[in-house]
Amino acid sequence: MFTMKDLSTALYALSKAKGYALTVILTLGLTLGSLIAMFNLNYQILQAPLPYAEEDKLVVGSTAWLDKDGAVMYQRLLPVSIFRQHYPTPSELLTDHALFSFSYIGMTLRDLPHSPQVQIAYTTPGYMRMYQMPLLHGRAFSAEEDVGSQQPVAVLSEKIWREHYNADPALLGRSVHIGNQQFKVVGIASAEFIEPRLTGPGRSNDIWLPWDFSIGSSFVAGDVSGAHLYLAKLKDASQRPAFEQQLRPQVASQYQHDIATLPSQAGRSLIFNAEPLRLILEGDSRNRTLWMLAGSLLLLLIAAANITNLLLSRAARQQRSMSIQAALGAQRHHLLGQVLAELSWLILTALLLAFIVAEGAYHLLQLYAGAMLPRLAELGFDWPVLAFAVAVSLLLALAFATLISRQINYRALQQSLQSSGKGSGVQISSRTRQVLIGAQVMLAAMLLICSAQVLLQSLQQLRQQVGFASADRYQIPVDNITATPDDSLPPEQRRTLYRQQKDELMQVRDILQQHPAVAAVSVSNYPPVSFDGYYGSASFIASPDSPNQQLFSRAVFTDQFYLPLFDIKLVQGRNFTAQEVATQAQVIIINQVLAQQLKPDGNVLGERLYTTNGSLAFEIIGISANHHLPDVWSAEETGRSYLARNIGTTASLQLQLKPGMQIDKTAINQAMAQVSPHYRAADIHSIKDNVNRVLLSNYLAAAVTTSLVVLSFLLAAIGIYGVLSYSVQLRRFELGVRMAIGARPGTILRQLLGENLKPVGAGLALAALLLVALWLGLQHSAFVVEVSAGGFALPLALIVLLTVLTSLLSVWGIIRKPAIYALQGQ
Amino acid sequence: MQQQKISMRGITKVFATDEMETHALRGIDLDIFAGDFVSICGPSGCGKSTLLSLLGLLDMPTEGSYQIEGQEVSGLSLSEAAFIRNEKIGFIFQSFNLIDELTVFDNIALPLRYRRQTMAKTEINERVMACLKTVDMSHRAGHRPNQLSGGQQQRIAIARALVGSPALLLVDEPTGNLDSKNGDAVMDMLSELNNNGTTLCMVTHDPRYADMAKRKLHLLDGRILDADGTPLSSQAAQTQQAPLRQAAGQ
Repeated sequence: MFTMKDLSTALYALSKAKGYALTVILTLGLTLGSLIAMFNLNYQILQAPLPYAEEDKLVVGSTAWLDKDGAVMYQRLLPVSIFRQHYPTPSELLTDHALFSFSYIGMTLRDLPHSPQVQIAYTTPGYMRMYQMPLLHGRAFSAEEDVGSQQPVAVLSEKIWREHYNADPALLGRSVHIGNQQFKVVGIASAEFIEPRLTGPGRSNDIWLPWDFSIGSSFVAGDVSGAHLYLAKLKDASQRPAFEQQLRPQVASQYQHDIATLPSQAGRSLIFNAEPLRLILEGDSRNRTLWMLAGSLLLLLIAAANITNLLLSRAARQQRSMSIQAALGAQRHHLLGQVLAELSWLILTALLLAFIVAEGAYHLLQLYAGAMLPRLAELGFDWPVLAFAVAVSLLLALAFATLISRQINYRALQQSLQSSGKGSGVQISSRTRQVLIGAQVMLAAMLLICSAQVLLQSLQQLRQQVGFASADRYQIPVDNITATPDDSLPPEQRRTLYRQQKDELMQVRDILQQHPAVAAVSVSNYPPVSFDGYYGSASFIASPDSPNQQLFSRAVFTDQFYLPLFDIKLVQGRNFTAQEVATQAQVIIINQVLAQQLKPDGNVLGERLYTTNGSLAFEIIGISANHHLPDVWSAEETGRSYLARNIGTTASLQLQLKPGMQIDKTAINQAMAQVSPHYRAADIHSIKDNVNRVLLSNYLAAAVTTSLVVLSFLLAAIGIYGVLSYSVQLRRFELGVRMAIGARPGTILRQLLGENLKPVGAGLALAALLLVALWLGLQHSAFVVEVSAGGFALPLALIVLLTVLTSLLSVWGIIRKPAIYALQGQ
Repeated sequence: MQQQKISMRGITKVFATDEMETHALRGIDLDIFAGDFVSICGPSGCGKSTLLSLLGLLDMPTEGSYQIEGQEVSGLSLSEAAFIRNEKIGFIFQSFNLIDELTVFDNIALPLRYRRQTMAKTEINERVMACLKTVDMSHRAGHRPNQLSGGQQQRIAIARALVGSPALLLVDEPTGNLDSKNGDAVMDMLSELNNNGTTLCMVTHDPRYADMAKRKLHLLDGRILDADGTPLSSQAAQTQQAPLRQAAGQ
């Protein structure tokens, strides 16, 4: 194809055309790098083997909770008591199984003076077997520590062991203090353990405790929980449907039996599902990452169109040297060999750059998208990715070489020296140029319009006020080891015990209120947005006569300081009084959404809401403004309720600090210690960070699409300018002739614009057609596409403006000088 | 008194680069009258082409005054110069400079389409066909330039130069790319045009064709020479050129 001599000649030639070489390498390297990164991301999520043996046999069991009308209320819940009963006698279709749960309240290592917050997983020995947890020291859970054994043992992550226990091997056999229990450390899990992120990519666990100690392990019949899963390993991957069919009737009938005495649950049902582990880990990331792959592919195509233009221009510039070589006897393949040698240098260098860019992209993804996309930690060099990168590079090289070889007219080259410039063997046909411009505009327009749509939506969300104040506000989850009131106690006695906890926390609140850095404090179960994304919930009925019409709400159990602290506006009515909080009065504040669910006009002040069993009635005393912060649970604002009642197991202090002031955990813990040794501050989370975490997907979407918009616009600008400029250079003499016979600068510009806008118009029309087809296609899919006219019109206007500007720029050098310069080729 | 078409006084043209200045024309004084046929001769690099470029407003002088039919044109903007060029000057190039993508008809019609006032289609049609007839190429109106011989292409170029009824026809080595037969034919055609009243100014190397002009100007080192080879002064240009014109039978 080409010789070493060709390669060295090509290297020398490129060193003399540094600008050209740099443009090609940068354009191709950046776009190919982003494509490689996106391919790797999709490969990791969708195709790469999971780091567990026989991964296809691993399934995650949970149930869908169906309402009376058959509508799915929630996915992936577990009727804990049913599976606790079922656990000792697993299906004969399984080789292993485990129960799994996780902490969703503040937990700290109480044996350490600074009581660091930790994330805890509760599980059974099967978990460590199925996912082959490698142990740095000690052992995994044994059969003696299985369900019902109540053995207080713990396996710590290597990270926690190193960070908080100085990697002391003697920790093995010693105890750590978590909650109100001492746990004997039996193992240190190696950092090599790639934990299956069963509860989302953002959550990793620090400590594994036996399932018996999980919150909800003592749930009674009829309770369902979103914090529990049933993990299993099938004997044969193909038996997954059979396993589902086997358990479905058992779970369904047991559930009906369990709720038989609960009128509020009547008619509801459960469907057991055993989903492949890969599907659970993948979550909803597939759409997002596939869009990112499509975007980067489009970018590469735009870049390829650019590079084609550049290569063709270069071939045209080399016409004279090619003519001389042809006259001296060079064959077609000699000439093509030179072109290919240059191309090889360029693509090889661009490929190396692309790998560096891809590495950078992995780093950025791990830094900023770790909470949103799964398996990012596994991103890195992979043979399939290398094969993909090489294949794409070869494909590009082949495409470029084919195109160039078609443009080299060997016969014309041979004659061009004799004909003293009457024609060129490498003049790129007007048709080719127009097709290139059209293709480039089409690709750029598609990418710009798609990106602009996403960008505008993200910006709209980011610009919107969330509906509550977050600056200088902090959430302090409370690690509470007060014994949970026993379910066997009478309700009134349980309420009294919970009341005592709330009173104690209100005392802590009042002490903290005296701290010089503190502006305001409130006690509640959750802030408007929690660090872990969880929230409390409560369902109500409008009337005891219609128990089937339940109204769901995100519930905040709090005091009179909560709404003012977060600056949550009341559109009607009033806040709680101190008296109402002290007496746990049956009053409620609801948001506008909930009010409108009760009555379309939302005027519900003074009306009542009832608990689902009708036993308690709450008078509506206020209506708060809606929040505007869609999260993973709900894309739209849901009903919200605020009650002056007991807080329950999950408690947080909400702090508003004075501007510029800070507070540390020690000060808070001192305040807590004055009231009770049961309380510790788990951590201090900024509400602003909590909000930003929820908005992260919007920030990420805005950042990615802004980069896409800028890159594609830049590439389109370079590409279109390149083609137009080259085209003008070829026509310089012709334009000179036109000027000589009276064409004014404006006339030349108008003529060029008219000519250039034709392929641009064709490209835009084609892009519009393809986008309409795409939009129609998406109407039949699960995608929700909101199309904004601005996101459509703006990119089109930008491309037309770009064409006008690049046309002007490309011809400016000719029309701003007297005609003689163009005629003389200057 | 004959109508003065062109008047140049003290025209200089200096091409400057970072390192040096090249004086292409040094104080040219030149008058061309209606019906003139002036040939400009001189060795390579003497400034012939530069002078022709200035005459055709393809370039602007560094200094001096240039009037076409009494209108000062030396300081015009590019756009104004283009209008003047379009309406008052016709060009005939050595290498024809027809536009390959356009038909013969469209090539000839091009200057009319660049007019300040949009010209009616019928008028364009009439004028183009008349010019085609003048150069005896009516039968080739729909052809492309690359379907014509060199001589035919130059005839089309002449037609294009004539179509706007210019005050002055500037001709740059019209026979340079033609064989002697075609060259003679083109020169006959130019002579005939001149005899019919068209004013011509021609640059040529060929003494035979230069002699066909009514007036011959010799250029050397950017200056016009008189008959004994002395550069003409500004005043002398007036006095020396009048007898030449008379001698040529004006």
